[in-house]
Amino acid sequence: MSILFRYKSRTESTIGKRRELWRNFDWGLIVAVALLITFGTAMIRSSTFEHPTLYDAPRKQIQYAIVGFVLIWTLASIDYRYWQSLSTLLYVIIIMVLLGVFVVGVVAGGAQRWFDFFGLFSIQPSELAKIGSVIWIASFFANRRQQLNKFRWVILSIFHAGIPAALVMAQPDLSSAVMIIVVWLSILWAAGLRPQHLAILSGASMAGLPAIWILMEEYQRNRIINFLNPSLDPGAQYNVRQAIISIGSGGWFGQGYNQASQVQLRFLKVRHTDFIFSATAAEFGLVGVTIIMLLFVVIAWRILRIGNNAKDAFGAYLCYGMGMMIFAQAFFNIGMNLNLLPVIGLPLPFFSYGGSALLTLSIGLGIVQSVALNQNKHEY
Amino acid sequence: MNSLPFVSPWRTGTLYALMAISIIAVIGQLIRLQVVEHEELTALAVENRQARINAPAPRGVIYDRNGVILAHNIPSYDVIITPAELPEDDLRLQEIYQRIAAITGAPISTPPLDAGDVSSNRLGENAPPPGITEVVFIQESIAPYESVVVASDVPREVALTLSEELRNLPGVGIQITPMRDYPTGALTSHVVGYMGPITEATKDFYIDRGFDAFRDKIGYSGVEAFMQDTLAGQNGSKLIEQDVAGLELRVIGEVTNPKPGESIVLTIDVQLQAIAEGALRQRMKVENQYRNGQPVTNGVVIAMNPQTGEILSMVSLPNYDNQQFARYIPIDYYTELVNHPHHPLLNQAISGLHPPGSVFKLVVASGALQEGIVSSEQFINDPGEIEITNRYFPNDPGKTRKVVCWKRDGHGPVDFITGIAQSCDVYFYALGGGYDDGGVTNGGLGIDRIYQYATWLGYNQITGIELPGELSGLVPNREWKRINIGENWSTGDTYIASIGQGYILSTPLQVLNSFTPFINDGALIKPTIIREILDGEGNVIEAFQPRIIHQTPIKRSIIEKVSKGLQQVMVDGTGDRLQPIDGITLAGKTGTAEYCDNIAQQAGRCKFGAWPAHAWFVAYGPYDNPEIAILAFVYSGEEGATVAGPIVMDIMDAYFELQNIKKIDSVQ
Repeated sequence: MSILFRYKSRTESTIGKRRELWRNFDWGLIVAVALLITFGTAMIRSSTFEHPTLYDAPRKQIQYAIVGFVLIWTLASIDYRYWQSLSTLLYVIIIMVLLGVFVVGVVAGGAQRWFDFFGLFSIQPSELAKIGSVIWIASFFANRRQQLNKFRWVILSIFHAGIPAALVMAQPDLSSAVMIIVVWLSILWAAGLRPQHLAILSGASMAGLPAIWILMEEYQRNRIINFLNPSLDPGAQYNVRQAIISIGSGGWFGQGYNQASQVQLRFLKVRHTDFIFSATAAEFGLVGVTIIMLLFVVIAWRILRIGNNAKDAFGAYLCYGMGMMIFAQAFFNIGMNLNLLPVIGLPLPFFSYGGSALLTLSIGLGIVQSVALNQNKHEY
Repeated sequence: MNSLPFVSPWRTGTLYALMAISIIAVIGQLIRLQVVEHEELTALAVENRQARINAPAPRGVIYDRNGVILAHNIPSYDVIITPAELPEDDLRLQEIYQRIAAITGAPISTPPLDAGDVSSNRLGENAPPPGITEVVFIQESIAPYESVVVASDVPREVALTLSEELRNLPGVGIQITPMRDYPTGALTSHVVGYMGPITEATKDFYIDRGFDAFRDKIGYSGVEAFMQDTLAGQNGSKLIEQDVAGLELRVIGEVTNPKPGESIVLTIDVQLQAIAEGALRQRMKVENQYRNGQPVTNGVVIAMNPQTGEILSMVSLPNYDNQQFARYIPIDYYTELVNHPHHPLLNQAISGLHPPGSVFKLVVASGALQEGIVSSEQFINDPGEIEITNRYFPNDPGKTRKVVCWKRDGHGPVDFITGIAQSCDVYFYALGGGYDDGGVTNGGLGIDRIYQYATWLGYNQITGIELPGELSGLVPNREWKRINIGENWSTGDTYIASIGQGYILSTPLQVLNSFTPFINDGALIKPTIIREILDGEGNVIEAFQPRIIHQTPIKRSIIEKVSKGLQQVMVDGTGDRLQPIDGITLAGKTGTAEYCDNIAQQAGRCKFGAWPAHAWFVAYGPYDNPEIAILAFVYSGEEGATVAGPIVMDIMDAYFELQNIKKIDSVQ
């Protein structure tokens, strides 16, 4: 274990130093996440109650959560700066894996998103790519912090983040690609993107939208078309309509746990994953979903705060990337539940059912906690 | 060393501001949905889970007079799919389709069209059944929230197996529809009728009365149509809670139970009906054996109790099989029926219009006698043919018209009874239009009085039998001819009308019914097909009572004279060659009515002086207390006595034999 820890002074008592270190562990963040997972698992249970094939989901989610917490603690105890030194290697490996998906990827749900490890377990390379992108984008900007005022580096960072994003989108996984772009933009902004450069980027992306449109898969385009013009395909808009009805029927306090007709009688589809927010809104009302949003605000706030206290730029950017990714994912998910954004197939972090997402988020949180442990000033 | 601002506070601030904006957007939308639109959206959620189920009322059963089932309901199971409730996941969808296909045998997808194979026509009778995928695809594009049948009329066991798995098959359902079943089929199709879907035009009418316009059917013909309101009952309704698959979870709110339709016992005796149809078919077959050219296929037999009006059998050929219409109306079969020259879908007994011929002589006979045109003892000489002088040019021999008796060398001197018995045309010309040389100098009965008496005997009006599509026929008068032909009435017209020819048209039922005043002291009986109406439990709620249409002002003495003539027909008249029935005295009247309709014209059979003719025969008995009157009509049968007569006698024979068996049974 000892080689994993890099301390300022090896002369100090290791145990004493570690105890001191763990005092910086962000309990507020962990409690908020634990509350979200607990609430989420309860809603997964309500959504899959007596379902012929999904009845086992809550139990599985708890198992994933336990593994997730172990991952958080494990990764927290690994100094995050290792990841900076490994970032190039990670970058290459994940690019290889993404390419490998095309070769040996198991076709599941019509998309080559799953990578099967000899039948033992399967992971989504795009999930790994999301976490990986935080590391290597943070590393990229941490290394070039002083040169960012030159637009050249901004352009270079586009390619740096763009290659994995394009590969993920080609899988096709639009939502993960969007998340990588969010991470890139967040860290770019945090690292000091000049406002005039942002203006150029905005202008260029406006012009570049048609190209992205061409790159998108038919079903992704249809989702956006359906969002912009619901009357085109009443069948595809079914679930959005049901989500709106579910949320609206919740009112202030909801219809009660395990009580909402929209959820229990299964009018709402994918209610345990992408549309779990609507299910919660139906059963716990405005009050219930406000609690969810508060928890996400707490999580984002704690992570950005860890970033502000980080010892180095890499740590800070890691936190900004991770915090903004979690918040953006939550917002995008809630937005599509509320029909504010197109349905791009994105789970609610820590809340929706899904092991792959929960474990990768735990890895991210573990790294963030590692930044917290290694911060400079202590809190009292 | 902590002084390095890795992220400037203002940059952090912009990110927080972004978060704040997104949260405000979310909260705003949440308030809109959960507070402002809460009521409407809750109503939609309620609408989702609640369904008003229209519970069909079982349709009444139709029996014959002895309790034989002529129409009843059997359950039919359909597998349905509501496209919007199917899972989005394609694998799951395929699993569902495969399961349905495995259980029901319905194809998953339609086989592709073979371009070279002409027989693989998608619309014809031999078209492959459409696949589940295609049916659902089409329904999804039309009405994704409404169910569509993917496998119809599956066996009961299949339906039960599938219904146990419905919980795992979202979007799939079983629909049980009562299907009408006609065990006696074509034998009684014209009386019983058939059913069909509620049309767009009548939709609102039936929906107002609690019908489900997509599911429920209504009577299209026969008793099914005429007694629709009685048979249909009243649909019930209930409010249920259902899940997304349409599975009924519980009943909420008040339940209105369906009120079953009332059952109907007809006056028809299926046994006699079968005998009647058999006799008609047999005689036509015999006729066709030594007849070249147009075979005889069209005929009517009606048997009724002339004292009560109860129709015991009503056969109209060609007929159709209403059992084929039980589930839906097959287009090929229906088109074939519609295009048939003799209209098998029409009940010719009430909808066929034909010149009555000599059976119409009852009208002229009773009228002339009652009005004192002749006395019953007066003889009129029949030379075989007489000349009618033109009223306006009495001295112009070129304008005179010759009319002939069916017996070209004449009957010689004919009195009233013989006139009827021999159906002497010249005698009736004299009665109807006058015959100075024969001693009828008063100009005869005349068309106005013929019209009057014909109306009294039930011509020119519907009988009011409980069947749809009855026609009133036609008895012409001066006014009618002026309006419709644009000419004045002539003596020749009166002569032709006197023997039931010319413009006169009547239905077989009218002809049969015109005999009832001579059996019931002048009362024209209302023929009926309904014997009893039963409630859901089989209790009689309405029993048949004999009714009369009107009392004709024909004197009893006249009735007796005419009846005597009708009896003489069988003894020493046009029907004397028919095999008599032991111990039963019969009365009857033959008719051979020349016609020239569009069918005959097309066949080039309307040659002057040799028109084709329909065969009519009516007989009733026992003479003193008639309990049965039978009419046979054979389209283009040529000779009433030899073609229609034997049919009536065959049925008459069977009828009295059956009565004897019944008598023996009741004694034992």
